[in-house]
Amino acid sequence: MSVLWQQRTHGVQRQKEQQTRAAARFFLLIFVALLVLAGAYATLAAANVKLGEEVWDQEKELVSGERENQFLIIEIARLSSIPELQRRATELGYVPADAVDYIWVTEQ
Amino acid sequence: MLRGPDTRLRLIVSLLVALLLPIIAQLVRIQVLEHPRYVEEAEQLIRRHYGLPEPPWGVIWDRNGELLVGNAPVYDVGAEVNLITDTLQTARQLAPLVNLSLAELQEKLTLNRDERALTHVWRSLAQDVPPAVQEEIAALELPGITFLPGWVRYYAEGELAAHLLGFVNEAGQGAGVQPYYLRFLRGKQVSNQGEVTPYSEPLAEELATARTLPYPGTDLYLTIDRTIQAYVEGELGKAITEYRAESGSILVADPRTGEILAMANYPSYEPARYPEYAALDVADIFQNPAISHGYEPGSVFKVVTVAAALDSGRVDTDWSYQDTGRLEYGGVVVKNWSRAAYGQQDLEGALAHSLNVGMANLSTRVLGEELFYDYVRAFGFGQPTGVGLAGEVSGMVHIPSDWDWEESFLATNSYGQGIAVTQLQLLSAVSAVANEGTMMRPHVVRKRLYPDGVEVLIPPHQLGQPISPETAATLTELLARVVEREIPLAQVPGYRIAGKSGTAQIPGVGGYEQEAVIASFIGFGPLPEPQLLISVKLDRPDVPLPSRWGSYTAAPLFQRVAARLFVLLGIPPDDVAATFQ
Repeated sequence: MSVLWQQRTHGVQRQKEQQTRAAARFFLLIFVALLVLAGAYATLAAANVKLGEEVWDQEKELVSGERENQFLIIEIARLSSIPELQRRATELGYVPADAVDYIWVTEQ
Repeated sequence: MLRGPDTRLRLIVSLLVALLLPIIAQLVRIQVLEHPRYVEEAEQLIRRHYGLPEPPWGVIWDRNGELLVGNAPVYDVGAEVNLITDTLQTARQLAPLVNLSLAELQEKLTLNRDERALTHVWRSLAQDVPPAVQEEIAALELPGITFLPGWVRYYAEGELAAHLLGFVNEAGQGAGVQPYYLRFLRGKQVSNQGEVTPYSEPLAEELATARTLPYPGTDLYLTIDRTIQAYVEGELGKAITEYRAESGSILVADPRTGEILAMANYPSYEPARYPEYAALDVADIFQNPAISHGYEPGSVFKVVTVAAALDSGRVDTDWSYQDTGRLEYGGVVVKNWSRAAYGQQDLEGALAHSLNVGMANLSTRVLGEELFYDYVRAFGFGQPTGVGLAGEVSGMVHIPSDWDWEESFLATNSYGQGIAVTQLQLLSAVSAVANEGTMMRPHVVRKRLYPDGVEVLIPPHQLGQPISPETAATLTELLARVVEREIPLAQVPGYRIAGKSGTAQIPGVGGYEQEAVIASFIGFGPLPEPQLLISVKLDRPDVPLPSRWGSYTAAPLFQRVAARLFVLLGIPPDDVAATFQ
């Protein structure tokens, strides 16, 4: 095999090698990019799930808080209802006022 | 023997293809031929309705922010029967807490023969269980026991203002203010369908695109004052006992705005226990007599007749007529309540003595059909007031174009017979006299408060101006003199009052009942700037005549209510007010 032919052959080989390497790099890059994207998607999805759970938990907590709030509202109403106030006033010795007189207080 | 690698390779490929074919066939069957069925099954497994518990209804407050109707949290207790491991033990522990006998509970917790093949059997064990009991049950950690949160209406003051507050049943019907404002009061539960976890909770993707939070109901602030309401109900109860009346009502309003401050009825009921009344077939008690019962008002209607006569300009305070004790018109003979003749009488005399003949003179000889009924309509009779309560009726006003009209109606209507009005219509009409001729719409809701904090005030609404301010002033003065001259029991020491009493006969079979009456009084004060308008009605007081007349029963009740309310509302007596002015 002449030197020239060998050089040519090697040139072809080198070119082929170069192309193969470039293709490999390209696919590797795509693979890495896909891997990064997949990772990012998985992270996002996980964050989304976590956030969704938090939202759901908070909404449940809100509803539960609302129930507690409504319970407290009626508890306050029960303690300040007219029959209850009358009972407590009677216990404290208060009696209904028979007559109410207006007193004219002059300004000093 | 196999002859070479090619043949062997072909054989292996053929084998592999043969193995793959059934798999492909199955895939085709599952993915193509039976695709819809599998999709449906999968959806049944992972797609379900989900949502947060039912939101509370709107709360009802009085005008000062005191709770009248709230929401008590409760639970419905149920059982996933398949999950119960020890039926007897579960029943023993639960029975005292859910008010069921051991046998009943055991039956509920046991699967029937037909149910054994099922994977999911749920039964309700108890409804409206209070949180304390629910906590006790939950603490037992019994497998298969479920809790569904819910609400029941809580009436903070028990029977107070029962007819006004009312209730709503599961069908959305009921009585009082609640069914009328149902679209505001009722919250909206949000129920979505989507993919859920094995714990029936939505997946995150679902939450990202769907609203799950329910919409709570809108709060209502009423015009009534619970202190005034309680006092008025107390006085009504005492009067019912004192005068042995069958029933009665008191309405208190601010004539300047139409706001109802109190609406008391006897007999009453406990709204929280409405199903029990319904079960006992006494559902009539839910009707609010002040708005749902039309009655012949009797002499208090004379206020309307005199207002019409004065406003028409055809008479003034100098007008007079000769009272002969009878007047024949349209085939009937109108007589005074005392059957006596009163001689020469002016407007004040006709009102003070409550003379039927005088009123019939005004309607038949002064006003005439057209003008009289124009005024009757202008005062709002024959149509609902639009107070904002369920069950309001129109009353009954015959007009000359009606098929059943009789000429005599013109005479009898003038003193409140042959016409049916509700107590609220009468209150609304007289409010025009107390409010310089302007009639305000009576209403019970002052403000709506939305869950997001937005307040919507309900402004006073003018129904019309049936009479001029001058007529209103003249009539007010006449009515004040009526009280001063003839109805001393209605006078409130220290305050000037205008008003009119009535003692109406009750229509019965073939005419009017002999003894039974409706005693009433409607009045306003203190003059000259009335802040309170009070209507009192006692049905069938059973005390000897003449003590059952309106001026002896309803009038003193009016006096007691007015005297206390002036104090409660901080309205000083006339002399004190004059001193400050």
